[in-house]
Amino acid sequence: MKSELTKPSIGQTILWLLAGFGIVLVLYRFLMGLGAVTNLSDGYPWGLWIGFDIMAGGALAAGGFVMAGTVYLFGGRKFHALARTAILTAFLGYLLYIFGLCVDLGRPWNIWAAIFFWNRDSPMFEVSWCVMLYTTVLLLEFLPVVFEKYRMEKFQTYWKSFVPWLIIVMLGLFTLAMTYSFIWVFVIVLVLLAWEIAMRTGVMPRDKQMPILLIIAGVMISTMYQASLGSLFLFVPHKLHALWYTPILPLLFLFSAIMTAPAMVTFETLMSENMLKHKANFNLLTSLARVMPYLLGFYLLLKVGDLVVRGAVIEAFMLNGQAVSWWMEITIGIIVPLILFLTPEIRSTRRGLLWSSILVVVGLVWNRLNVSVVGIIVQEWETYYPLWSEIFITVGIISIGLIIFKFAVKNLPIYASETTSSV
Amino acid sequence: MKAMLIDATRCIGCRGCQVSCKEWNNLPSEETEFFASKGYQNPRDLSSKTWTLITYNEVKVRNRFDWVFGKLQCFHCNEPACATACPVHALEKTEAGPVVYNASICLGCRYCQLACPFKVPRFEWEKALPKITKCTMCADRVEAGEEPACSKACPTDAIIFGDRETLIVEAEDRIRNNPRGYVHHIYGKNEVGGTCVMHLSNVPFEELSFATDLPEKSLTDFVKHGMQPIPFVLAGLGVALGAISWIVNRRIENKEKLHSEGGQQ
Amino acid sequence: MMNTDVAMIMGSNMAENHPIASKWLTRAKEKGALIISCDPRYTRTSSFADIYCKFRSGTDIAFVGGIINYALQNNYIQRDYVVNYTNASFIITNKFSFYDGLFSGYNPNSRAYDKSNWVYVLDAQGNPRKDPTLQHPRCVFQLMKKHYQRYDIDTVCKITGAPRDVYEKVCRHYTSTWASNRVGTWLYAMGSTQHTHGTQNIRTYAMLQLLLGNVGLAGGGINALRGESNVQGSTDMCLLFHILPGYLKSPTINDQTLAQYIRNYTPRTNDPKSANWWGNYSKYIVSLLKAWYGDNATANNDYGYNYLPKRSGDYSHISLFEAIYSEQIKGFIIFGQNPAVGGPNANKERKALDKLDWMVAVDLWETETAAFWKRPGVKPEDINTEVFLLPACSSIEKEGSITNSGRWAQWRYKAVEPVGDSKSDLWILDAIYKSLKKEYEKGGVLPEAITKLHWDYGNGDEIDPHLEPDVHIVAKEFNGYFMKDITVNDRAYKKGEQVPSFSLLRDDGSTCSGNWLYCNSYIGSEKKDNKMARRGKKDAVNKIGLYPEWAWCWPVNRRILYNRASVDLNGRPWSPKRYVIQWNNETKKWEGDVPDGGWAPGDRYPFIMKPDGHAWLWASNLNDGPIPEHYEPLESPIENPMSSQQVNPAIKLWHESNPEGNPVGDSERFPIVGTTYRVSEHWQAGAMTRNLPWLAELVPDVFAELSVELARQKGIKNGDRVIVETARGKMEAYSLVTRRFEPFHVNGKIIHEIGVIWHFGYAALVQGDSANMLTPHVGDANTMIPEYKAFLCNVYKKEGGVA
Ligand SMILES: Nc1nc2c(c(=O)[nH]1)N[C@H]1C(S)=C(S)[C@@H](COP(=O)(O)OP(=O)(O)OC[C@H]3O[C@@H](n4cnc5c(=O)[nH]c(N)nc54)[C@H](O)[C@@H]3O)O[C@H]1N2
Ligand SMILES: Nc1nc2c(c(=O)[nH]1)N[C@H]1C(S)=C(S)[C@@H](COP(=O)(O)OP(=O)(O)OC[C@H]3O[C@@H](n4cnc5c(=O)[nH]c(N)nc54)[C@H](O)[C@@H]3O)O[C@H]1N2
Ligand code: SF4
Ligand code: SF4
Ligand code: SF4
Ligand code: SF4
Ligand code: SF4
Ligand SMILES: [Mo]
Repeated sequence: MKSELTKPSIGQTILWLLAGFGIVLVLYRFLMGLGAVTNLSDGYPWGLWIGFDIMAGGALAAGGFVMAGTVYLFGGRKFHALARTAILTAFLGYLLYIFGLCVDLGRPWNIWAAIFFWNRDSPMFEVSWCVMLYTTVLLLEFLPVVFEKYRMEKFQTYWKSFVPWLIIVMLGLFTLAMTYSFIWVFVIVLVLLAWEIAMRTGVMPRDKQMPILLIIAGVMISTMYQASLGSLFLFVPHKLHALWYTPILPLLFLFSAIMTAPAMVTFETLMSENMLKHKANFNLLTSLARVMPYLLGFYLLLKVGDLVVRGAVIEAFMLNGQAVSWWMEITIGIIVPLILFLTPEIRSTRRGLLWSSILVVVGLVWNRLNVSVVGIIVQEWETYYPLWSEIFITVGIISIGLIIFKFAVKNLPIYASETTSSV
Repeated sequence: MKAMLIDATRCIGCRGCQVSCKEWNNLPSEETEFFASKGYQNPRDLSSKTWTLITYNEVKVRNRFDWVFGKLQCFHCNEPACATACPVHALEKTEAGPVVYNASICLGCRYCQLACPFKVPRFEWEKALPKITKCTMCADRVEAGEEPACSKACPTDAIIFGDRETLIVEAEDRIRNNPRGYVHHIYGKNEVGGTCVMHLSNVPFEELSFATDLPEKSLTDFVKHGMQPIPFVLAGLGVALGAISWIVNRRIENKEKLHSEGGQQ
Repeated sequence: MMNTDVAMIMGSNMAENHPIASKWLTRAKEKGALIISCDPRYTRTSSFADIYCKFRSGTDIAFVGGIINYALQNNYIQRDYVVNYTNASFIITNKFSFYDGLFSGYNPNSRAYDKSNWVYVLDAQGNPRKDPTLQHPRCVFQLMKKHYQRYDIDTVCKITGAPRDVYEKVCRHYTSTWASNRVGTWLYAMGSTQHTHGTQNIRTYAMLQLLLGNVGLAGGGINALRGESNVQGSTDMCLLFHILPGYLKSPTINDQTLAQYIRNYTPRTNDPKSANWWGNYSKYIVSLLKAWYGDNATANNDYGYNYLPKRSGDYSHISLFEAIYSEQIKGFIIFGQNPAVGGPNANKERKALDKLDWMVAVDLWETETAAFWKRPGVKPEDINTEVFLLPACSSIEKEGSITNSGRWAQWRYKAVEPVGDSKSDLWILDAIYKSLKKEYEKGGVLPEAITKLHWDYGNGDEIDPHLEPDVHIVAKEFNGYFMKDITVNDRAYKKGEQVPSFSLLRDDGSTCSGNWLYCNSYIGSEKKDNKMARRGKKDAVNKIGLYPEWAWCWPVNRRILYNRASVDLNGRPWSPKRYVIQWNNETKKWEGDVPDGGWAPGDRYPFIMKPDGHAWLWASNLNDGPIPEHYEPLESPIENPMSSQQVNPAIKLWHESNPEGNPVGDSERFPIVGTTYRVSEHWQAGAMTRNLPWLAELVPDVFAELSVELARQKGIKNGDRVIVETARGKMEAYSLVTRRFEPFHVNGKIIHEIGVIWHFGYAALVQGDSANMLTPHVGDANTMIPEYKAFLCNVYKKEGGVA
């Protein structure tokens, strides 16, 4: 530990520098306004930060709910080992994401307003609630790790008995905010209560470690959330290029997030392997990889099918930036990884898996940037490309994430359960 | 509901409206150089400092050259996309007609900017405590029983202010009385569900760079499609997840049981 | 205006420069009126019009002469009106002739006409001889017909470059107002006047209007859209060098005594039907002198007439600046004017200022003129002029009256306190007077002219920075009051009482009036007696928008001048649905507007200010001919196709008399026609708008408009920096390439025209070159107004050098 502090590696130094620089830029942004550090304009009110940090970041953090769901709900117990990493990255991701959001929001000090002033018609309202709730859920999901580390068994027990009720209240409130209807609140609360009671009475199985309702809440909110990110753009039929604007945008967003989850988990696992010189369970990863072609194939079908149905196929063959960007998204993010994942030789190597996953992740980021920036068309004289400071703030935020991630996996029993189980 | 009718055939492009808007709303001037766009247009676009803008369009219609002036400003939509988009109701449609803004709860998410089909809301990019800005239909004046500053200033009554219904009748009358002098369309009567700022013109509206590909139904409808299923999805997910998890776990338990039993055997 | 059937806007860019006036055309349009815009370029006014016709700058007489010809040839004239109300039937002396662009009586050495060659033939009673059949070959009508026969459509289009089909349409639509129940109005401003033949341009409009019977009617007339907001008021009050208040003539060295003066300017008539209003001249001048010199004005001293300066020549703008340039004038007080930007040949005028010993500028801002000594390109230390800048209040910081183009004098109140140390012009003048008086009391040349003035505006004899003179005393003095107790028509008036109407003004010293036209504006001692402050919103019985209870209109609240011409000889309106006045046979009274005299119909001729009572199709008093003839501007791209007289033969040629700084360009080097004009967004020389950020933002820099074709030929793109050059100077501007300017087909050639706005200079918030670096020192033959609207220039891209 000590030696590390005195002699940090080059990579680490760079990370700290980038993080520090990012923070300085963020301070500057709060003093001088968004215009000073971004190329955002009234024509392009949303840029790199929304596109990358929020849209893509949010989707990448989807690993959390997909893995949690798989492990705890769908019997994917063997993936248990990956779940904690996924939850940690998701939790971290969301914290940074909220941080990024505050940097991007013009008036972040008013963020409380979203709790009290409800506009159920606004996808943005849904998004903000999902962010708040899901971050809470992730925090709750993450807490056991802390309890474990500091051996706070008492708290753990409190937590376990308290969480389900909290979840019921939270989801009830969420339903109320989204519907303004007590009937729906009643329905939702009833379903959850029934489940909890069924578990307590042993009618339904329950996990010893994890309150299932928490997982359910995570899955439900995330589903809503991924979809609502897509709904955001339902408002812009006049601005969003026909290659992307579709009424099923929420569905596409949701599905692509789910699809990316295994890739993201694979990527994270392999990366942390490198970083921490710790061996992951490779078998788990290959079984994840086996699902990938189905997901990718289905997504491709969905996307192309949607284009065909909307009669927008020719748009893909136009000679413009949007068409090019669309092809890149499809090729890099779907077709190439599809081929790679279908090739057993590649699927079965660490490097092959890593790169295939990276492509899927890149494809998703690309897609989100396409929808939120590239596909948005305003006055012909208005263009947007990120300013260096925007990039550096993003890089800074990621660096902070990596630093914390490294700190967390070092100091918290993230892989503890895995080691115990594998021993 | 109060509304404004702007008749391009009467507008002489004097920009009295543009200046009086700044005067009433205390907006700063912009640094410009030559003309930022076609004709005499300055500044280039609406901005946080310029809530209304006269555009100068040199057009050729029916072989006759003409110079036609358009007025950009908030349309005060009947079902404003901006207000629907706003997560916290910082933008709201008032009974009286204007769509007004309440900075004290605005998050600055700028979703309203994205959502508005007319690219109206503008953000104070250069400020540390920025706000969303746009034409307010001079809600303060309207509340006091006055007409907006711009319509008041207009020398030729190219802008008139009144009840929306009355103005629609007036607009229809003008078209009927001078069918060759107008495009037979009241822009804003039906666009995106109808707006409280409506336009008449003697040239097709795309010549005035108005968006002419907008749907007649409110953009809000598009979004509602996306938002309506929420409770169903929530409830559905609740039930489905429960069911799946139950079934799956049952099977696994059974399998495990079988295993252990088999192991015992 | 709102009552009109056809509105012709020619020579004005009304929508841009008189936007509020456009409101009334909107009303007319609503009622189905047709609007025609004729302008060298497509303006914001043209965009408002139904018909637009282009034509080359400087060719109004040809253009409108052609319409006159069209009306005469097709007999589209309102015959009863023409015969009875104009001098069409008057017989002209046989000394009159016209040949090759010259009228008879021309003296090439003095460049002047002997106007006695153009007069009427008189009968035994001394009245003009008439031929009501209009057949006499020497009657005005026939002379006119002959003269304008030469202006057939082909010739006109060849000179003006107007497209034939559009021009014909203009002729047809405008002359449709000949019908007695149709009325057309003509709106003009500087596009018409700023020419070496500016007066004759307006004459052509007026003649056409008379032929069509459009003068004196609601929705008719020829309307000068006047310029500066109170230019009407200041002209009424003798802004110009050749007049005294109320359009009395300023005395010349030929008018040595009051009697001589009155004799020289009082027209006479022997026709009992002619009201000859100017017959009252003596009453107005004596009342004026009484207002000025008060009790010091007595019959014995010619009422102080001898104190008045007598002029010996032309003191108009160009002459003044030529005199300053040649160091004949050494001191200069300039109130609210900015000639360093607005004066023609501004470069020369700026240099003239360098030669002054002292200058006092009274203005709201430090204008280019006030700052001439630090303009670009000069060293302040080389200039010896002592310059004083006195800060003046703006119009909203003081109380007083303002008179609009319709002669309505409106009272306005102070809205805000003056900024800083600024003072009202009245205070400044009062202070200057008081100091002058002190000096002259010590002696000097003709000190009485100053010391004997009656000067008491209620703020004491000393200069007090906190005491404003009382504008109400000033206004009451303009109206006039009785100087002693008198009885008129059985009504007794007390000394000091306000005179109720100018018909009571007298030439025996018993009344005073600072301006006879304003007599009736302030009829009592109380503020409520100030008719200019009235705000009544009731319209008159005829409902044509006279609003007689709103403010006050000179003379005696008559809203439409020469309204007796709006009815036939029996008092029946030509156009009953919008009558101005009509005779009520029951009550034996006029209804509607205040009539031009209460006489019964047909008892008097309607044009009461003319000695013969008739409107003048023929005007023998002008310097450059009794009827307008087309001449080219001083600088023109072609030879005059009408005659061998290239330019107006009666103008003063400054480039010959004062060649220094007055070069004239030729079409070889400068093949392009140049013109200058305004935009809505700026005011004049710009001090009042270029200093305001909200307006500066709209038009931040000077620009030159040119056609797509010319731009292509010169390799100029929209937004390029270009140089516009004339024989006198050059300026830099942004190019605005537009379809609104089009090349003209003139006399077989393609002629290009470009236009520059003239609002810019080197002072104020936003700056740019002044267009008047380009314009020449040359003026109209009658008014001396500079020829700002047509000159020759060239244009090229800034980096490229001469193309
Ligand atoms: N906004 C604004 N309003 C103003 C002023 C201002 O500076 N700014 N100035 C005020 C003053 S003092 C005045 S005098 C008036 C002037 O009012 P206007 O006379 O309307 O002013 P200009 O723009 O100088 O010229 C009018 C038009 O004359 C055209 N023109 C050029 N050459 C010719 C020609 O040979 N014949 C004819 N018929 N037209 C020609 C020009 O293209 C131009 O469009 O405006 C008054 N109003
Ligand atoms: N090339 C070209 N030149 C032109 C013309 C053109 O068409 N083309 N038009 C000509 C015409 S029509 C005109 S009228 C002239 C105008 O020329 P100017 O009269 O020289 O121009 P303005 O800018 O109106 O000058 C008026 C000044 O009075 C000041 N002022 C305003 N109010 C007050 C007040 O209450 N008291 C005092 N003391 N000062 C005050 C203003 O600040 C301003 O500086 O320009 C002429 N010049
Ligand atoms: S025009 Fe735009 S900003 Fe204005 S009300 Fe409609 S949606 Fe809102
Ligand atoms: S920026 Fe403000 S007003 Fe606009 S949508 Fe966001 S919270 Fe609402
Ligand atoms: S209504 Fe008011 S805020 Fe809107 S453009 Fe007109 S003046 Fe400006
Ligand atoms: S004030 Fe009226 S006429 Fe002038 S630009 Fe505005 S709308 Fe047009
Ligand atoms: S500037 Fe004044 S005088 Fe001229 S149009 Fe406007 S209000 Fe009328
Ligand atoms: Mo003027």
